[in-house]
Amino acid sequence: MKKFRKHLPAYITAAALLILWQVIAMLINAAYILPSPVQIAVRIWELREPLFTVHTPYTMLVTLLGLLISVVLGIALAALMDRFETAERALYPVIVTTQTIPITAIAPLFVLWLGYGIWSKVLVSVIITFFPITVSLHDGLRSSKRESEELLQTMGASRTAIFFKLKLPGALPSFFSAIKMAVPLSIIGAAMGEWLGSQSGLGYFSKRMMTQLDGAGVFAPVVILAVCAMLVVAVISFFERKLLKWRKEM
Amino acid sequence: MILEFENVTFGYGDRLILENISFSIPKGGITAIIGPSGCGKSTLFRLINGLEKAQSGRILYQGRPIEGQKGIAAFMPQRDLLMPWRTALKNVTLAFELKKRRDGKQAAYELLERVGLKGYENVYPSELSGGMRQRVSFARTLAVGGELMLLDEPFSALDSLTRANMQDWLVSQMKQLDKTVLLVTHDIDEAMLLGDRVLLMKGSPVGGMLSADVSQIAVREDIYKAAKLRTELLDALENGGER
Repeated sequence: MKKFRKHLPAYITAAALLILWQVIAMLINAAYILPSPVQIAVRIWELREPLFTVHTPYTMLVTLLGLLISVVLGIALAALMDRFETAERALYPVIVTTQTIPITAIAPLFVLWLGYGIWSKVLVSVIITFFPITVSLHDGLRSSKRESEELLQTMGASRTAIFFKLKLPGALPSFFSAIKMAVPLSIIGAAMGEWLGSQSGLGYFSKRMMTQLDGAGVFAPVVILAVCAMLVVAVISFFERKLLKWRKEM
Repeated sequence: MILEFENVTFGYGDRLILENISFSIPKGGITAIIGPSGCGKSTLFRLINGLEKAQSGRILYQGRPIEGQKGIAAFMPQRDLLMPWRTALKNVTLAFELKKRRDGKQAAYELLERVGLKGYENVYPSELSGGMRQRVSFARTLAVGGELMLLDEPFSALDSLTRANMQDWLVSQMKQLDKTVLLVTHDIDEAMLLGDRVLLMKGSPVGGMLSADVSQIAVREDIYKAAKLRTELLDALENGGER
């Protein structure tokens, strides 16, 4: 109840925006240009069968695969750059450069390379998400104080012990922030990959509805994408609270 | 003598900190080392800890060079440096974990009880007061073991009341412990109260130590009885170590 009260202003704003949208859509009265929220809701219900049994699971699989690979890659890169200064100097600029690549422009190539299957979409998702994860984790690992490291050294800790006892736990908060930032990105990446060449997935579905001038049908998968992103972030927040209990007390 | 510096020279880059310095620390009791800030008090500890290496000269622990001797000193830093994600107990067990000691938890319980923090085992550092955090830090230092304890201005970050309490507390703790303590401080009163002897760092770069016996000072009031010595030390501190 207290939580509800805290978020009340946000609910009111959202409701007001939805009502505004509904009114404008009704005034325009052309669903292929701007479908109303009610029309979208109805369309989701009508299309529930293909949306929830085929396309949503597909997109979520792409998202989770992309996220998983990004996390593994991000941890490996961040740890490597933290351990070896040469690695940092060699990799960091390259990693930053990957972010200047217009993914949308080259993603069709991925389809060419990896085919219409799931991996071309996963690649798009990974390229978009591994960056925030790597950079945040890298900063998190570096945030441990030099004097803490030296204290552990005087206690006889090896470099590996310092990494696992000091650096990694210290980097966990930034790691979770990064993952929460990466989830929506990886969903966008998945949808974008599907949009550019796929035979299933919410991005593909949205594109197909577009060709049929079905405005509400275009929006239906978009709404589902947003809800999925929120659900995944909520799950991650749950684990964050469990693991970072100590932060509550600060 | 438990610890000896023999003609030790050390500097950072071309800035010389210690120049051909020799002194020794007898076994047992508290030796307070004072000197103006930035004179290299902490550098002494870094040398003993092995975090830095002397450019020339030798440092001996129980008659043998400290290189290659492990775990001779436990270091207590100026700021507690407790890990915020570990409870008080876990911060103490850390030292045992690094030594892969199995019974660490039980030993940590006992140490926390010894420093008067029974009942606070599962509390995070952010919920403890400054004085309590320093006591956890002290317990962690005890957990590290070793015969030498190096305390680097352990109470300088505390407010004056807590600080006075902690000083008295440390004196009572030390009576029960069979340790040789080196205490670095910039506070003459603290040095006189806590120390059995005072070593004052002379010159810049430090070229030697001025030694004074303050073992007769046991309680706070004694400092004022020893006013003459206090003034002398204060003058020496101001004049770069010349009495």
